[in-house]
Amino acid sequence: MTASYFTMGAIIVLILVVQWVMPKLIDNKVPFGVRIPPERVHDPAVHKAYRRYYFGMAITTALSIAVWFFLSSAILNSFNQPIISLLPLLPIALGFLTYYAVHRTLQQSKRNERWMEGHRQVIAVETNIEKFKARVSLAWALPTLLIIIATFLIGGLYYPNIPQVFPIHFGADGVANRFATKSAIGIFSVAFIQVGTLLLMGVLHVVILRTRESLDPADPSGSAGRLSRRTARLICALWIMMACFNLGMLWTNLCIWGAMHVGPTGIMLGTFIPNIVGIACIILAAVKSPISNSVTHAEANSSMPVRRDDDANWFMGVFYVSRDDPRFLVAKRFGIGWTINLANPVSWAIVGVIILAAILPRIL
Amino acid sequence: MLLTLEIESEKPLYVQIRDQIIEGLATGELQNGESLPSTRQLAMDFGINFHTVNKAYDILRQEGILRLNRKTGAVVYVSEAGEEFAADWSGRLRTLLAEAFVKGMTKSELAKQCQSVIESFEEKEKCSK
Repeated sequence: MTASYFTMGAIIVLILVVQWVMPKLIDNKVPFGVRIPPERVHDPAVHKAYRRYYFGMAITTALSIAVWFFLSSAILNSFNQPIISLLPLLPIALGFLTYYAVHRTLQQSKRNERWMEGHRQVIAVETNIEKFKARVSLAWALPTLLIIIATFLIGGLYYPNIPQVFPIHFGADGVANRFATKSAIGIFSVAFIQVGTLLLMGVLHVVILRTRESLDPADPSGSAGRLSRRTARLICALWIMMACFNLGMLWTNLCIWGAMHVGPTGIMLGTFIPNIVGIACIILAAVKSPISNSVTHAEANSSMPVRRDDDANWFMGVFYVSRDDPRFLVAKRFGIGWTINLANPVSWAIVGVIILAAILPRIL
Repeated sequence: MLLTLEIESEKPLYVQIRDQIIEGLATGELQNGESLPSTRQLAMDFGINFHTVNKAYDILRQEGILRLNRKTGAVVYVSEAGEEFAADWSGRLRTLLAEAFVKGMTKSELAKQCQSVIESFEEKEKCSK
C-alpha cells in the first residue's frame, strides 16, 4: 500500500459522497435533470426514480471499493500503477450511467403522462437587479494571492540552495519521472500555473455574479433569495478551494526545490489533502444553501404558473445547448455550480483557453 | 418588478415585455425614474435573444417611456402624452371595447371591467414633467 492508493481511495470516497448527496442538493422540481411541475414532486414515478438512483449508487459504491481493494492487493503491484490513477473514473462513469438511466425513465413518464399539459409556462425575472444581487467581495481572493506571493518569495530566497537538476513531474506513485535544469523561470513553472488559475477564478467570479437564473413564478422573491444566497456561498467556497489548491501547490514547490525532504508519500499527501478540504467546502456550501422551494406542494395545482419546460435545451440533462440564450454560463441541473452553453462561441473560446493552458506547459 | 415571459404564447416576446413594463408603471410596481437592467443583462436573465429585448426597449423609447443611454443604461422616464397619442389611444380603446361588445358582453359588464382595471392603477406619479 502506497500513498497513491490512499489518495485514490480518498478521491473515490469523495466522488461517491458527492454522488450520494446530489439528489438532495438540487432543485426538487428538476430531479435527475427533468423539469417537473410542483404538484409532481411526490409523484410515484419520481419516488421510484430516487429509489432506482440509490440502488444504482449502492452498486457503484460496492464495485468501486471492490476494484480499489483488488488493485491495492500486493499481487498486482508491479503493473497496476497507471491503472490506479484512472480509478476515480470508475465511480464517475458508473454514477453517470445510473443517473442517465433514471433520467431517461423519468423523462418518459413525464412525456407519456403529459405532466406539463395545462400549465402556464413562464420565465420570471426581477428587473430590480440590486434587490436580490449576490454580493461577494474580491477580498476572498486574498488568501490565494498571499499564498502565491509567498511561493514566489520563498522561491526567490531559496534559489541559491535549489539543486542544479530538480524534478518537475511525478508519477501517480509520487516518484519523480521528469527533471529540469535550474533556471530563474524554470523553478516557477508550477507557480505560473497557480497564477493562471488565480486569473481564471477572478474572471469566473465576475462572470458568475452577472449570471442569474430565472425565478420560480410561484415564489419569485423566495427563489431569488435562495438562488443569490447559493451563488454567493458557492463563490466563497470556490475561493477557499483555490486557496487550498494553492497551498497544495506551495507544498509541491517546496518539495521539488528540495526544501522539504518528505519522500513520495509526503509529497502526495501534502498536495492532495488541501484539495480534499477544498472540495468538502464546496459540498458544505451547497448543503447549507438549499434551492428547493419549501412552499407546501399540497398547495400546488395546475393553475399556478410554472417555470418553462427547458428540457429540450439540456442534452442528456447535463449538457446545455441553446442558441437563443446569450449566456455562456448556466447553473447546472444535476450538479453543483455552473456549466457552459455549448451553443455559445464564447464557451468554446473559454474551453480552448483552458485546454491550451493545460497543454502549453507540457509543450514548452 | 417581476417580469414574466410566456414563450409558448402567440403574443410576441417583445410585446409581452413592453406591455408588462407599462402595466407595472400603472400599478406602481415600477416607478418613474427607476433603472431597468441593460438590454444585454435582461436578455441573459430571460435566456432569450438580445434583439428581442432590444426591440421592446426601442419601442418603449419611441413611446416616450424609456430613456436609453450608453452610460446610465435604461431608465424609466415617462414623457407627457401628445395629442397624437390621445387620438391613437382612443381608437385602440374603441376597437378593444367593441370586440367585447360584439362578443356579447353587456354595457354594464364592460363598465365594471373597466372600473376594476382603473382601480388597480396607482394615482400618484402617473405623469412627470
